[in-house]
Amino acid sequence: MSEKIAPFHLAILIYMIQSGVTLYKLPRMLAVNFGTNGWIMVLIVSFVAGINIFLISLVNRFRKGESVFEIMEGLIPRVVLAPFYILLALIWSILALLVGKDYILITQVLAFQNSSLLLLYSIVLILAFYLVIKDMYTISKTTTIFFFLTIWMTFLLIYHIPYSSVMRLTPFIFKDGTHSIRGWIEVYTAFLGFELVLFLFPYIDEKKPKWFLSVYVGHVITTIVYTLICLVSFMYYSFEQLKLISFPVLNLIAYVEIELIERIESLVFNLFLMKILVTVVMYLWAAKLLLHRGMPSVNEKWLAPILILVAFFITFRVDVVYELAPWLLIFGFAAAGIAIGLPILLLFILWIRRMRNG
Amino acid sequence: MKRRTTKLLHKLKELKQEAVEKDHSASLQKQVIENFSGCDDLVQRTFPELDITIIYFLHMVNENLLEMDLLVPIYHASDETKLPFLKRSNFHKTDDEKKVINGILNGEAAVFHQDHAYLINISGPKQREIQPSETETTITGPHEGFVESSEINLSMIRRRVKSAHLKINEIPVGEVSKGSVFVLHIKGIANDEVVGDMINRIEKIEIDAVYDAHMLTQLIEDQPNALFPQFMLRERPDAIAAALVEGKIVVVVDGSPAVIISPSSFFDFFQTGDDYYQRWITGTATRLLRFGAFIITIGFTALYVSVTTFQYEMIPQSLLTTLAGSRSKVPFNPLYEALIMEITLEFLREAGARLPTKVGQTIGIVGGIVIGQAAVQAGITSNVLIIVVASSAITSFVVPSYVMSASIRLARFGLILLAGLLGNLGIVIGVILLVIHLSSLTSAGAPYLAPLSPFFRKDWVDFLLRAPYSLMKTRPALPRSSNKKRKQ
Repeated sequence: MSEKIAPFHLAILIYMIQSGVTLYKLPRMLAVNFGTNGWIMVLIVSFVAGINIFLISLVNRFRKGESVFEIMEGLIPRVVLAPFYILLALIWSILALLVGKDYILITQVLAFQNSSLLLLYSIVLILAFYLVIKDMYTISKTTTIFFFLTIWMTFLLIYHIPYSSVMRLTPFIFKDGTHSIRGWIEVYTAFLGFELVLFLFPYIDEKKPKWFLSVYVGHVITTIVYTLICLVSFMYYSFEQLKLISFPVLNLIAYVEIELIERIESLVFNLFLMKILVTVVMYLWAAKLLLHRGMPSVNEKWLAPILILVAFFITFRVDVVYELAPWLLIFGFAAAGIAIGLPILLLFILWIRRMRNG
Repeated sequence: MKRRTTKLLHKLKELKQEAVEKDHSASLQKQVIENFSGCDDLVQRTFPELDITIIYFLHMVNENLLEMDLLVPIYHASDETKLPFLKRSNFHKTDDEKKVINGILNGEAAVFHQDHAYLINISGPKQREIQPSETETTITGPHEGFVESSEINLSMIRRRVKSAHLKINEIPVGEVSKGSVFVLHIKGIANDEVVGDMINRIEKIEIDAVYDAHMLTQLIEDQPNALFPQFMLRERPDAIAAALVEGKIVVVVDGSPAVIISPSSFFDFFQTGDDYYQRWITGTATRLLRFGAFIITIGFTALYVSVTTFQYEMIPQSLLTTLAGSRSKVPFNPLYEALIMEITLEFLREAGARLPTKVGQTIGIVGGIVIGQAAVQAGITSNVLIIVVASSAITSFVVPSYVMSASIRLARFGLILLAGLLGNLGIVIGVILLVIHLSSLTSAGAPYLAPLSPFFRKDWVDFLLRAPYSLMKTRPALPRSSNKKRKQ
């Protein structure tokens, strides 16, 4: 069997990395930052992210079979690049752990007020460790199963259609929002994850020449899911109400009631752990790859535990939601910077190399 | 004078050679008999007038064949020099001591004459007759099942796949037992590389003896420490023929009524012959029912524990009063309550499996009383839990493969424990662990969760659905068949 990621799986992988716990806050973030009919911003930000993916597709077009590392080391010696690799690894592993912590903090508020945060957090880290030590093909296969186990949740929205109203959308567009750059970054981070495809090049089944389209497909799935959820939220809640609810999507799910079961948000939110895990694992995996390149002398099997432990201790003191928010913003900003900056840097290097070679 | 001396010397040399050869034959016979010293079931018959000694195991040979193929020709032979029957094709001449010993062990008779040994296959030990399989019963379709004899099993397969392309490789396995393992594939359909890999795996086995196919699978699996079986075993020749035609490889172990199919996917364990013999709509419905049963058996008790321990809010109000009333007299927390009942049920299942049928019924009645009434009246468990545990037990038997069902039941205990510790989050953690574990498994190098992940779109016609035969145009991707199109 060809142990390479097929385009179908790549699309799913991209969607699963992108969509995370931000989804639960997204309608509020849009309402606060962009005002009425903020859901339209999902499409605009998604378009910007699409341009970012286009930059990555250019890297793919010009790379001539080389991996990201080979492109960079073709111009700059590895010794010089090593600190850059380690820095990237550190940023991504901290971001991964912050995403995990964000999820666990919400879980704790929802169901485990008396349980230790450390215990719950450790369980997520152990799960992430268990998956990140597997090879990329297995991670991709696992992600596909997680996708099938979670995608049905989007269809729960059908339940809300009778309770939604177009009237609540109001005829105003982007009124009463803060319209800050911070808001842009916050929403942009909800789409992050596609940049990891840069490191996936050697693991992708490139037999089909148009395989890169699947990255766009994954991004489109994310956009559709986000747009639908935000649209329904804007139609379900009043604008003022939406600005005040911490996790509007959670309340939306809590409203679903069927004959045999009620309050399914506790089950649905827990199932979300699968998506979170994919995001955490994929960032850790990329960080592992970077650290290995930056510090080749370290035994490969120690890389994942090192990254998890280092990031764990750096984020150790952050254990309440309001402390976590600025951390998430800073590292989200850094990750957005990498997502935009890294492909530009790679294109620049490729251009210089081409100039040199005549 | 010189010429005469040379002639004499030559004659002497010939005589010497003859003596050596005679001595060799005698020593070969002696060595073989020495090897079997202490084996009282060894029969040795001597015919001095013909210089013939025959050796065989009484219980390993077919008496009719012995009479017809060996004894009658010997009785009709007139003198030592005229033994034409030894030249027949069913007599194999050999001077190799090991070959003679192995032949006798396999039910052949060894004939020692002059300076050579001849082996003739007259094996025919007492065997179980062909009967319907007890572990794989079907309502529609053929009923015959495999038996312990590989010869009968191979004949049943050959009768169903009448093709010269059906190739069989015999591999001896077991340093002491010298058992035979047969690797079957259809040339032109099966992937040669995969066949070679399977043969290689079996040849590498170093063990005293292999008694059953289930034992062999554990010696050739990619991950022997995994919770789930990686090879599907079937006891029905029709299922095996179907696997061969799909391009899979089949391994027959002498002495075992189960036959290995390689590679196997996790979802193969949920298929039965009935799916294919019934109309496709009913076949599909039954298959979906089985997957539903899998979800219930693995998660229902865990969900009960989670809901009654942590997430009472998930129960609708109308049901809540009934559940609270039922649980009010129970002194244990739901985790202990569920574990007590599940373990009791496992005891009953194990006792039922080991006891003779007549006593087994008693166990059923006693178990029914203990589980059904006494436990509730005594206030040890709640009525609702009885329903939950009983549903889990019934659904566990809906899974057609017993080996898979046993693995699922074990996984269920893990989920119950996690649900008792962390509620719904625990169940999700358990499911995540299971998914990661299953995704990392491979069956003879092929992904275990195919066609779901990796996603093989064309194979979905025979996965959750059992689509009409007209839609099954390609062979499954899992065996990496060299001929993808069916009907070719």
